[in-house]
Amino acid sequence: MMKVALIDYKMGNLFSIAHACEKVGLEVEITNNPEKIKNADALILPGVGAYPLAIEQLYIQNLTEPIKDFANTGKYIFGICLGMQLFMDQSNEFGVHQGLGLIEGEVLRFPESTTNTQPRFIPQIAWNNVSIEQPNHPLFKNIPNNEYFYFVHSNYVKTKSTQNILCSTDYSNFKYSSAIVQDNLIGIQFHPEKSGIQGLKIFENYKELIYKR
Amino acid sequence: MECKRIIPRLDIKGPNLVKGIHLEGLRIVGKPEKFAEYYYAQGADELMFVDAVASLYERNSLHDIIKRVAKQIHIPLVVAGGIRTIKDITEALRVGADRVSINTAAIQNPKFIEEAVRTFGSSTIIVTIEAIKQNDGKYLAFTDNGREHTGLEVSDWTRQLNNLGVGEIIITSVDQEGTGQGYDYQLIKLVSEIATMNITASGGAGSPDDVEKLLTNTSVSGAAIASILHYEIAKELFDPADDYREGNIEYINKIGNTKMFQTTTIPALKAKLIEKSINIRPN
Repeated sequence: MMKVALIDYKMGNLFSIAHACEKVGLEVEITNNPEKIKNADALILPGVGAYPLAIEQLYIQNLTEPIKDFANTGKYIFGICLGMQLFMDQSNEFGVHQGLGLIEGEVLRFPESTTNTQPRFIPQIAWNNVSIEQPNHPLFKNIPNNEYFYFVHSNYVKTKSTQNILCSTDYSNFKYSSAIVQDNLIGIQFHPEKSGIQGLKIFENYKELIYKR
Repeated sequence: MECKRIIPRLDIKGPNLVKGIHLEGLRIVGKPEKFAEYYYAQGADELMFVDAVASLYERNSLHDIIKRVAKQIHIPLVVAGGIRTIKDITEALRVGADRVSINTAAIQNPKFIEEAVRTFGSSTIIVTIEAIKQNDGKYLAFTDNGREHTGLEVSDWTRQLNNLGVGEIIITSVDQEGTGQGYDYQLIKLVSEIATMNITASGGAGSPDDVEKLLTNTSVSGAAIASILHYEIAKELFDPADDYREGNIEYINKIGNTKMFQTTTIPALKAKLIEKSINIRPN
């Protein structure tokens, strides 16, 4: 049995993710124990809330180094929403804040709309299409292109290299990366745990990835 | 492109799903868990749970319901009613809510909303406006399910909410609520011209046409719907073996005899909206 650590750093919807994992037979342990994280076979880094608070919590709970070390082992880390944003070098939410620096790039706020006819409400709270830019990536196995997933966020990631872009999404005529990848690091902006059956498939695929490694 | 959300609204009293008119005269419609699971399977985009009596007493039963539902249902859950403190929000999120909506406590203390936004992020914090149109044509915001007069004008309150960082407004027309006479488009227009965030409209849907009209003619991003979805399926989901000790279930048997509502299902409603080129997530 693979050990998957769902990192609890007091920022987020742990139980929804745990329930979704349970549905697809992926056993997770909710933990903030660095030793357990180190010994896990894979990680899930969740997160809902503000970037500065999140990164502060990771530091307070001495989790930044264990996560960075884990990334270097080649074992999978799956970042969801704010969890993905933490992979980046920095965020501009409420001032500039350093992230974990695992993937080159930054987190930016959606631009305000420039026209009155098409307002872009911030945060985005919507089901939206996910266009798969790397069609053979196993995380999106059996998921049709442009499938709908549930998004709730004000900020998006901009990777330095376009090679990190796994999926893209259009929000009120603004195209951004809705999933990113760098070898063993996978991040998605939407909430698979809140995206019905298609979302559960993402967890199923992640499970398969872990077991195949 | 982002889709408009179809949101079944479930008003909860004790262990039961209820429905009233103008938020009053609540009648039992069935068991909320059954409706929630049914709507999830049918392709609802989000579920809204409203504690119909929360401003008055006990709320543990709602949390028990949310806890059970959240295990089975993998779409966003909004919880509203009786949320007054940061602890209340933490507790609602802990049992499985994704976002919470606040009315009474927001009007009494706008600083509470600022604090909530800082703590949980703007995408978690919604404010419900319960609006009643006055004889002079002005819309006023009420609290406690439309019972308490505040004197606050809806337009002024919306302007204030723009500055508090709230992620969404649920605008409930108490006048239209439960009547099946259509959303209050004038009210929705008033709010959406001022608001800089997402709006969900609630109160008045009496037919699929009403929902179409709402999503075609206004910029709201969510349509809350209750009667026309509940009444379509209430008899089928009713099981006399369920525990109904806390209320009168006579109304369930009378459902269907009403001329006020043209009932529908989520797939049928969504198909109709997609046909009208409205951005909707198909089932």
